[in-house]
Amino acid sequence: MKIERYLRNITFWHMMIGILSMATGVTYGLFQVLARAGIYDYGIFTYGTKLYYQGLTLHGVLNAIVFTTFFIVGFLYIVTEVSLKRKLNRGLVYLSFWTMVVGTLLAAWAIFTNRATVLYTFYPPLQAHPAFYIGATLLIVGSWIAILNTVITHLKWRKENPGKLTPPPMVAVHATYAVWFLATLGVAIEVLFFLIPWSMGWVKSINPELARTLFWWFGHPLVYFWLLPAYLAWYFLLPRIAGGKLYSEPMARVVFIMFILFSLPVGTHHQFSDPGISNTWKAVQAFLTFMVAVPSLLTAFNLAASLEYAGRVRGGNGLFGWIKTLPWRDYRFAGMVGPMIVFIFGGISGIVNASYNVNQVVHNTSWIPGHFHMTVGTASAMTFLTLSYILMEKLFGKRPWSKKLATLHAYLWVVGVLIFAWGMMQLGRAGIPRRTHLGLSPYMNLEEKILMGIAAVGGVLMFTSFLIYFINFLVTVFKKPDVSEAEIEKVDLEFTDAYHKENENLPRYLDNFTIWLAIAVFLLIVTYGPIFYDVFRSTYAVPNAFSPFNPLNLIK
Amino acid sequence: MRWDFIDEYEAWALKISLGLVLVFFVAVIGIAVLKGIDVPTCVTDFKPFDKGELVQIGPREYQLKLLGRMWAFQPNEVVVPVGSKVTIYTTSIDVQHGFEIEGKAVNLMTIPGAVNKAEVVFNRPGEYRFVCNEFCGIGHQSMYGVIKVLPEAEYEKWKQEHGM
Amino acid sequence: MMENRDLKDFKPKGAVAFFIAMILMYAVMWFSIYALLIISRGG
Repeated sequence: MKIERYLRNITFWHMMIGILSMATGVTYGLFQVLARAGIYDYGIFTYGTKLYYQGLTLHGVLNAIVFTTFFIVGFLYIVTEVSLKRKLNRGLVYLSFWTMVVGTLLAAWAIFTNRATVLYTFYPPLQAHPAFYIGATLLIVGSWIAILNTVITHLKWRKENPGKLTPPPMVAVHATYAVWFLATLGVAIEVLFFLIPWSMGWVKSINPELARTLFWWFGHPLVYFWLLPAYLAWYFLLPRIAGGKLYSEPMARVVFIMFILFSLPVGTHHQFSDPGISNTWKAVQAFLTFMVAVPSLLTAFNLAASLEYAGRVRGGNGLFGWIKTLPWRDYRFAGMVGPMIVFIFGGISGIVNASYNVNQVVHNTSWIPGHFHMTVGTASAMTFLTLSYILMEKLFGKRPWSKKLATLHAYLWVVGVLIFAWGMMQLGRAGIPRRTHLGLSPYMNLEEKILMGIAAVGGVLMFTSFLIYFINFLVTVFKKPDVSEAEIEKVDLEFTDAYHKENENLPRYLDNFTIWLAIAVFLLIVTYGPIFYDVFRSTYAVPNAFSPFNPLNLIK
Repeated sequence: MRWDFIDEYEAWALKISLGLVLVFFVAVIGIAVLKGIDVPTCVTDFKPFDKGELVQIGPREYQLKLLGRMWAFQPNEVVVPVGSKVTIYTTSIDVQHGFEIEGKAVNLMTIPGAVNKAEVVFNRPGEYRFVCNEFCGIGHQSMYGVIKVLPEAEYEKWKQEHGM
Repeated sequence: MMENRDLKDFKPKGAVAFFIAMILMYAVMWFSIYALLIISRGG
């Protein structure tokens, strides 16, 4: 099926804006790790940002919000058109894109001019310029328009294919957007009803604990918005790249449905240390968080079986003989299996974070960034960078300028992030806080400084790996296509075949998204209702608003 | 509900995964119920305060009202004898802070308009560093304090010196 | 790339072995932090 030129170009721009944001964000990541290790502090060479915390805000917003949202929306457009073989609504694609761009520019202006140094969680009573909050809202509304476009296209497909099963990659797209839409309701309420009125000065007080609870309703499913597109690539592209088949298609579908159910009622595992929420409901959300770990464990098994299948097809035998024969030098394989290996450690550190009272050991310590640089930082980010090569080939017929470099930077990142994460997690066990300019803090002892130094070595390797990618990718963008225009038309995004395939006697309820959405909303209400009740009865609004630069209350 | 689309290996992986997380959950709830190792909960009988202080409420029993403020805890030095049980209440008068005693797994978000609480027993003498672990502005990295737990004799000597 | 990707009655024994190893590693890592909590709260 031919992807129209307009969509190829606009998908390119979604990807390019994301990658340019990440290039900036990763540069600040380097400054942070050097500043925390006391090697080099913010100063003349940091593009005018004079401050560790401003760089940290840029690092968080540009990498975790701008890069991810733009890349995912662009990638899912292509998956939708290829798997449904239907055209998206062109007007909505442009409307969504420009809304997201305007929102990003607004927020970026606020952060770069040091008016929004509140980190990407923007907890009140620290106050940012309204442009930051309005920008964030527009970025989210822009993504809602992309969701609307996808749903309309799906419903048209449904009408023309009554009784036909939704293609598995499309199940992953719907799961991603269902989780994202239900999640963004939380932060939309926080920003529209509390933060914008408060930062505009119309309202003179704010309840910080209420704002936190609304944010973390959004904050955890946000993580699955980042993860599920990577799972889509691992499930439906990787097995074919590896030379085999996906082990079980129905189980892939079950996994994405479990994410729709359990992604939403779990945000309170970010608030185990919070006041104003009873430990009973914290335990309930801890249990539900364990339930949302199960689909990831099933993914580990399903993908391991798929890779074993590919290894056997390539002649590997014996219990682990299939590992040697896998195409480890292929940049697409390295760029997806590398993150999968790192994600094994990302997974268990995540389960530790979610383990109720065990969280007290690691909450807000360096352990947490150690964890999430392995999850969103590698499982999602690196898979997306690999997808950028694949999309450049599919959409413009341009193979990577250097496949060797692409494989090299994949493994360099894996080594770098494992060293970085190990150092940060050891620091976390010692109780050293995250999001803190340790280079200037008086309470670091020698052993902790050494651990931070080790983490800095990992950080430098990660930065070098991204630099290699960035050069390789830019040259790929500007080089001539390797195939003629006509051939590009024919190139399809080859989704994988499956060993256990879905067939007509797959139970119908597995393809009915309304049931799963209804249960997800029910679980959200049942678990968050009592939590908001607790917050309302035991926490209060305060007449506070502070800039991060001076302790004087902006509200008189 | 038919389950025949799951083959026996996948069903087996599902059981192992559920088993693992249930073991973790039972272990976690077990020590919460049996040994009282728990997370902070709702405090409705204590109003936010704006002055931090250590108050002795019994032999070896203290109440620490710890105030978080932009860029220093009040009080930021606490001295108690070995074996003391300290009930800590935290709140903030400005922005969100985090109160974390290193090595004690005590971690309390310190939030304006809310009161957090934890009970801590200090059986081993020594200095326990506590730090702010939630970004609260440009002075955040210097916001810390120490809890000094002194053996009995030293504590008595310290009290005389400080005319307590 | 070999085109014949079909294996008859494939049994994912290697994946089962990997999964068991991963689960055991998970338990060891998790209980080490769990122990750290109990020791820290012990006093």
